[in-house]
Order: sequence, then structure tokens, then C-alpha cells
Amino acid sequence: MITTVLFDLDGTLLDLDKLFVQRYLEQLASRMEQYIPRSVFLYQLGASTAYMIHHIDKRTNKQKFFDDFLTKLGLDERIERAFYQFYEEDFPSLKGDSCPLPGGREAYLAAVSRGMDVVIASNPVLPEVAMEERLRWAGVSDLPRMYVTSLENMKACKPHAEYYSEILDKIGKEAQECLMVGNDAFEDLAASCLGVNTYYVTDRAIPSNLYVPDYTGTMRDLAEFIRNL
Amino acid sequence: MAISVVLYGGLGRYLPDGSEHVLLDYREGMTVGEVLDSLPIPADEIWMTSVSRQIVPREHILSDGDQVLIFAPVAGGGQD
Repeated sequence: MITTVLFDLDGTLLDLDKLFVQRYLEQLASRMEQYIPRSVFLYQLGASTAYMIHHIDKRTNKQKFFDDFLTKLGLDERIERAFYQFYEEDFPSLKGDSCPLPGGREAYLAAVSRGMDVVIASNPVLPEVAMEERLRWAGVSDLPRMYVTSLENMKACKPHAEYYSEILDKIGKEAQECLMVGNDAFEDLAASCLGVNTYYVTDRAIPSNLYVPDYTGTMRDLAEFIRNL
Repeated sequence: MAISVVLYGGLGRYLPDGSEHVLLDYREGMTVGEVLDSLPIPADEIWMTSVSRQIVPREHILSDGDQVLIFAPVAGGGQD
């Protein structure tokens, strides 16, 4: 019996502005330019993010990222504060045309009204403050949730199985009672490795042949699907 | 005589086996652009390429044994 729905965010609950990443990188690099030349910053942002995703140990993603970033550039914690200043002050202005994906809130509400727990299982590469902002963009920030994965509270990232096992440990659920809902067949359907049920959202589908979803449909189909579980 | 390619940010999804490491035969005058064109990765999924910790353009000429890092667009402190 499914008791918990794990929602991905980008392309699932949130229809992200196509220019988001470009503008995000531009603004973040501008904010950091007083400390780090632009090209050096952008390279290290990519490299330290890759380090964070590929190294899974006892450290949180935040610790891994800043350990690598600060060490490689010989910088101190002032940079960490500058990152957070960016997320608190500049990040909300990046919304652009980002908006709720049609059917997302209805599906979320269908899960809640059936007494299911909801987890926001977005790749934890952004800090909590940015995750909360993006939940506002997705139009679901007012709805109850059991857990939101973030840079600070997770030690693994998608598509690693450890990311999903970490969530199961934190929420105290068995894989079989969870449904992972996502549009990225590579990152979201990886949950199936652990026995988590998967629903592949086709509205903004990013296909992959590596995993076969248990269920497939649009976000608008999902509410009805959940009501009939 | 080889160029090693490392894919970051889930770009391995575009390779048939999901691999994030690829070895390519090196030839004199080979460019980063030729490496990119030889891989089944959509151009708009590539954010930047680097060699020896430097961001390099498509026109960058490679040396034997170079490692090319290819990054997907990231958002973070991080790609969702």
C-alpha cells in the first residue's frame, strides 16, 4: 500500500523558466566577482558540484561542496556567506516565467487528502532557502510536507541509490510504500533500484532507457491515479 | 593515444550504457568541438567544457592524454 508520495520539482511540480539556469549562473557569478574572477568561479562551481555529487560519505552535500570549493580556490568562509546572501537576496528575482506545472497542485492535494505523506525529492544541490522559494514558484509552499531534501540535510544526490535510501531512512518508510513522481527518467526512476514505485511524468519528460517506470502519465493524470490507489 | 572524457551532471544518461567516462582515440589537431560532436549529447545540455582546470571553447586543440570534462548546466552551491 502506498502511503507516501515523493515529488521531484523541476519539470514535475515546477515548470521552470527556460532561461533560469543561464540567469542563475550569470547573477551568481556577478555576486562572486568581487572575490573570484568569473571564469575561475564558473569552472570551480561546476567542478565542486560534480565533486559533491560523485563523493558520498559522512559529510552533507553542503560540507562536501564548500570543502572542495574553498580548498581548491584557497578561500575562507566569507565566500560561503556570500553564496547564502545570493540565495537570500537575489535568488527570488530569478523566478522569471517559472510557474506551477498544470495538475501538480491537484495531484499534491489528492495525496494529502488521502492522508498520504509528501516528500519534496528535488536534487539536493540547492540550499533550503532556495528550495522554499522554488516551492513558492511551484504553488505548493502552503501545503503540508514531511520532508524537503536540500543541500544542508542530505549526503547524496540523484541519481545515486543512496539519495533515495537516505530519504527512506529519514522518513522511516519502506520503499514499497513510496511512489516517486518525476519527469527525469535517469534521475527520478533510479528510485526503482530500491523497490520504490515510480510514476514517470511525461509533460516535460527527459527520457532514458536505463529504467522502466511502474506507471506513466501526465501530471494532470496523476491526481486521478492517486485517488484510485 | 587517447583522450579521456568525463561527463558531469547526469550527462551519462545520453550514452547507451549510462557511462560517465569515455575514452576516445586521439589524433593530431583534435578539438573539443570534435569530441562533443562525437558524443550523443544534445548541444543545449552542455554548459561548459574544461581541460586542465580551464574553461575551454569548442575550438580548443587537444593534446594526447588530455582529459576533457563536460558539465551539464548546474544550479547550486548545484542540476536538478
